[in-house]
Order: sequence, then structure tokens, then C-alpha cells
Amino acid sequence: MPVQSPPVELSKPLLLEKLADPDLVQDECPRRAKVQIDLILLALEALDLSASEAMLIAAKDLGLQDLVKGRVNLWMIRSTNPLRKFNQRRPLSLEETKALVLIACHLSRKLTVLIRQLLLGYQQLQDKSLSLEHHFRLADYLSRFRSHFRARMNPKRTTVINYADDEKLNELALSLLGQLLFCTGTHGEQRLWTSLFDGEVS
Amino acid sequence: MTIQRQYVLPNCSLILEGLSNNGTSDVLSLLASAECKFVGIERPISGGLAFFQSLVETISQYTQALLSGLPHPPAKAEIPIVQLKPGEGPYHHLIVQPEVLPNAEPQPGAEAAADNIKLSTVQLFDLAEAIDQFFADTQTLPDLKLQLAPLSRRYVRPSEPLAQRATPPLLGLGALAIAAAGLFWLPIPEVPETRLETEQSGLSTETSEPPSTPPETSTPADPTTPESSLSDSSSADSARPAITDPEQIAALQSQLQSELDKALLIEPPELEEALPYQVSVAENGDIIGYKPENDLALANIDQTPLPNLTYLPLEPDTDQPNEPVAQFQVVFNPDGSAAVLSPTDEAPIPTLETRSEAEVDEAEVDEAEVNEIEAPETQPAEPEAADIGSAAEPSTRQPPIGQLSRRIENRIESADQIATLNTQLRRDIIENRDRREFGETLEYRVRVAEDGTIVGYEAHNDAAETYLDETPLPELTQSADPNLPQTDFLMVITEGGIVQVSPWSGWN
Repeated sequence: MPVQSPPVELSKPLLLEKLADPDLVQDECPRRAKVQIDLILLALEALDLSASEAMLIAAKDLGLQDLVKGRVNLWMIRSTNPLRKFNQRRPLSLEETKALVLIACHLSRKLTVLIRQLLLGYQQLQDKSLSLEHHFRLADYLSRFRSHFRARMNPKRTTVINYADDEKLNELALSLLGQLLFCTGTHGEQRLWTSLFDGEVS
Repeated sequence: MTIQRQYVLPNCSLILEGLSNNGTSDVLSLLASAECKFVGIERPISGGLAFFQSLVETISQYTQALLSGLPHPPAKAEIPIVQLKPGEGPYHHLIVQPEVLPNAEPQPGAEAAADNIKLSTVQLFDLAEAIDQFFADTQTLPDLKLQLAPLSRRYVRPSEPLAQRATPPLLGLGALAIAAAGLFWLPIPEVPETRLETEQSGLSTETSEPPSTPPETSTPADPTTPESSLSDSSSADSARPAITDPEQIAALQSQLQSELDKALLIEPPELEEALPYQVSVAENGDIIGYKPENDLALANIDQTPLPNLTYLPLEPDTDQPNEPVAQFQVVFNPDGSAAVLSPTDEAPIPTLETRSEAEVDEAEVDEAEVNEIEAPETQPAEPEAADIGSAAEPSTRQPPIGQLSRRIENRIESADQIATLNTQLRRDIIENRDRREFGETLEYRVRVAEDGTIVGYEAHNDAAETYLDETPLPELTQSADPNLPQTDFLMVITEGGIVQVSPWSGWN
């Protein structure tokens, strides 16, 4: 006999619940956090060409399809970054931010070896006082990061104008690389999540 | 038996030694010593629980600072045992203060220098990872847990100094203040009062007064309001021409009687005494005004159908004191009937009696004043009509200021006559005008009698009202001879000063 039963509510992945909600004034992601998480994902794309595909696969693996529904949806939530050219005027919910954090850490763990190599290379170049072009892979990463950044970010924004120089963009890319390294740690997700809200809570 | 825990990473290894609380359990709950060995650095750093706690906290905070870019200040004021400071490029300086033994005597000159270890980012990460793995390990020092909290807003300095941030709002407020001060001296524009409004002594004000006075028992205000309404209406009445045709009067009387009877059938009023009223009726039978003749009548006015039946003109502007009116005496009897008496009837006895009774009853009413006002009304109707008539004639001789009656009694029909009068009016205006141009188009409705005299005019737009005095119309207007037929013309004075006259209803 047909029985009408209410639809089963899907339980949120446990991973999301590991990340505690911060005590914010508003219920959405603050500005600096939106910029930061988008830049982290941008650095991942600069490291690995297939990173955008990998992000979608990671979303599926981690059970985050409800939040990151597809390619377009991923682009939309990343485009809430106010520095983007096609900035989407929609709030980025905390759940979506958590999903992005989880995806970022998952991907960075896959690229641990590469990240460590690049950082070591940078350290060696610094010791020998050589310019950054001498390390091929690192130079590759930096140039890709620069082109991605310039292609996607709105050049009229003051923050973007500050990064007009190649040198400044290189510095940004290297600092992001260091941050990616810390994302690969045991508690990488929590560290990254907490760092997103630095200076936003009372 | 000491328990040892090792967390080994490519660049760093962390070794913890300690004891457990219970002898047999595997949990390392009491830390004896902690040691960090770095690959490539000879001397390891080591210390006790305090050192380890300081190390853990510093590394954790520093890592968060690296991730967010905002420096995390240390919680305590004193110099911590372990400090981390950023170095050039990918380097960081790990500064470890020498551990001071509690019982050691301070020896002058033998202070051990703090260990300053230069760590690369990868080495630092390995150390942080080792500590994170320690945190994840529930078997080791389970009391020490990873505590991460976002940095409070207090510790964040805004990128721009306060002075710079405050300048735009202060500039805005300053500009607003200056603009307000400047605009304060701007004069308030004055709206010119139209003359038509000042000349309102029409029935509209009179009829609104009796209904507006509340039907309460006599108060000092009440005697004055019936007085004022009575005096108003009497002055207004004197300005109106009376209908003198006895046939017309008789027709209107029967019409009024039937109207009142109909209304009384629907809603019979509950009256204890007869209420007398003086009612003004227009030519077409509309009740255009009424006034109670004693205080009781005033008090019970809402019980009578008079307020509902009274016709109030919609536009006070077109209300005219020149419309012929007939005055009737209406008495509402307690049995629910109404008696309408025309001015030509002789004053009936019952009304006299009721009125005198009302006088005696209302002790607070000023009897002398009521007598005075009632005296002319109790006189036979003919002198009254004559009074009104005679009062009306001199008033019609005065030029009607800006108001024409609604319709012409006697209309000129012949087209030739209208054409002649058209040219004559135009010539009169052109010959007698002082000012040629007024800067705006003025429109007037002018009433002309058969002999060519202007008997009335009316301004048709705002500009016409404003410049009315400067046109020759007021001077040329004379009183109307009631026997002569009349007709209306539209007179337009254009901006250039050209006078255009045409019949109001067209040439056909």
C-alpha cells in the first residue's frame, strides 16, 4: 500500500561539523575571508592545471554536493570575492565557506610534495641570492598565478591596483604557498578556518 | 617506567618523555622532558613542561598569524620562554629563553644567551605538524588540547589611520553645515491670496454653521452662534433678490411642503414642541439654507430632515448672492408633520404661540435679542418681502465683484445682436484700457446686456484674477437692468496684448 512519508533529511557531513561557527555579527562570510579563500583556491589552480576539475571531484568525494552543486555553482560561490571582475552580489554562507575550506585542504594534501619542493627551492634561491627565474617549476607557478590573478580580478579595485607589480604578485603567491603548506597539516582545516575570521570577532 | 612519544617528520622530530598517572596505563599524563631535533641543526631544544607549553602556544599562534597575515599578540606580558619572529624571506627565528632553575643562584656574567634558531618555513611547518600530531594523540597529555580561536577585533589595527578615515564624513558634515547656513537666508515664497476667497459671504458658510454647532443644551456659546448665524443670514438675505412672483412662490411652497412630508414619512422626528425654521429656497426648489428661529429649534436641528435636504453648492466660487431666493417659514410639529408658510401668508397664530412659549422656557436665552430678531419676522410678510426686495435692489446696483449668476434669466437669441455686442465689447475694452500687455494670457467671462453695457464678469484663470484690477472691466461694469436680456462672452487678452472676444457658447 502506498505510503506518503516525508522526505528524509540528509545529514550534513561530519567534516563540516568539525569546523565551529565563529561568533560573527552577521550570518554570512566576512569580506576578508571571501578574498582569502578565493586566493587559496587560485594558488591551487596555479600549482596544478587540473585543479578546477579536482575541486569538483573532491566535492563529490567529501559529500559536499549539496553545497557545491556543480561547476557553475563553484564559480559562483568563488566569485563572491569582492575583488573579482564578475563579482556576484550574493552572500557567501558559512556552510559554503566550510565546504571550500575542506576542498582546499583536501587538494593541498594531494599536492604536499610539490608544495614542499617549491618552498625548498625558494629557500635555496634565497640562500644563493638568485632571482626566482632560476627555479623552473617555481617560476612556472608564479607566472601562472600572475596571469590567473590578472585575468580574474577587477583592475579598478584599490587592492588589485596595489598588486599591479609583478614583484608584489610574486610575494603574494609565495605567501599563499606557505599558507597552503600549513593547510596540509593534521589540523589544517581547523587552522585555515579559524584564520579566516581573524579580526572579525569581537 | 618512562613513556616516550616520538613524532618524526622529515625536518623535525619531537620527543616527549614522561610518566603516567596510574602506574600501568599507557597514557602519558606527566611530562618530564620535551625535545625538538631539527635536521641540519646540531643542538636540539629541550625543556620541561613550561617550555613545552610555551612552545606549543607560540607555534600555534604564529601559524595562525601566517595563515591570516594578522599578527597575534602574546597573551602574557612577560617574555615567553619560546618566541617566534619572522625573518627575511622564508625564514623565521625561533628564540628560546634559557630555562631558569628555581634554586639556582643568579651568577653575574654567566647568563646564557637565548637560543636563536633560524628555521625555514618547511622546518617550521614540520614542527607545527609534529605538535598537531601530538594534539591529535589522545594518549599523550590528554589535557592539552588544540585551542584555536579567531583573533579578536581589538588586536586588529585598521589599515588607514583614524585621521584619514574621519576626513570624508567630517567634510560631508562641514559641507552640509555651510549649505544649510547659506540656504537659511533664502526667502520663503509668498502665495498671492486670491480676492475671490475674501468675498465669501455665501450660503455655504451659513449652512455649515448650524449643523456644526453641537446639539448640546444651552451653553454661553449657543446663544451667540444662533445670533451670529441669524445675523449672517439676515445680512446675506438682504443681499439676495427675492422671488416676487406669487405664482412662483406658491409653486415653491407646495414643492417644499411635499419634500418635507416625504422626508418626515421616512423618518418621523420625535419632538416635544414645535420647531420653527426659516428656510431659503432657490428658484428650482432646492433648499439652499435654513436657520432655526429659537434655541430649541437649533438644539433639535438634527431631528429635522432639513440638514439632509439642504443643497450645498460644490464650488463656493460659483455661489452667487444674486440668485433669487424665496423665504418660507417651516414649523415642525410634535405630531410629525411640517407646515410651510410663505411670506405672503399672514403670520399664523399657532406659530406665534409656540414661539412665545419657547421664549419663556429658555431662560438663559437673551430674550431681548431673540425678540429683536424675531420682530421683523413676525411682521406681515409683505413688508418683509418689500424689505428684502428693497434691500436687494441697492445691492444689485453695486457691481458684482467677480461672480456671475449661474444662468441668465433672459438670454439674447439673435445672432446679429450677439455679433454686434461682440464688436462693441471689444471696442469698449480696447478704448478704455490703461495697460496693454500683462505678460500672460488673461481669460474672462463677461456678461453683456442688450444695450451693450457690461453687467458682470468673472476671471477664468489665475493670471486673470491677478490682473483683474488693471483691466477696464471693473470700471465699465454697471448694474443690470432686469428687463434687458443678457449674454455671455469669452474675452481673452493674449500675451502680446491682443483682445479677442467671442460668444461664450460659440457662434452657432
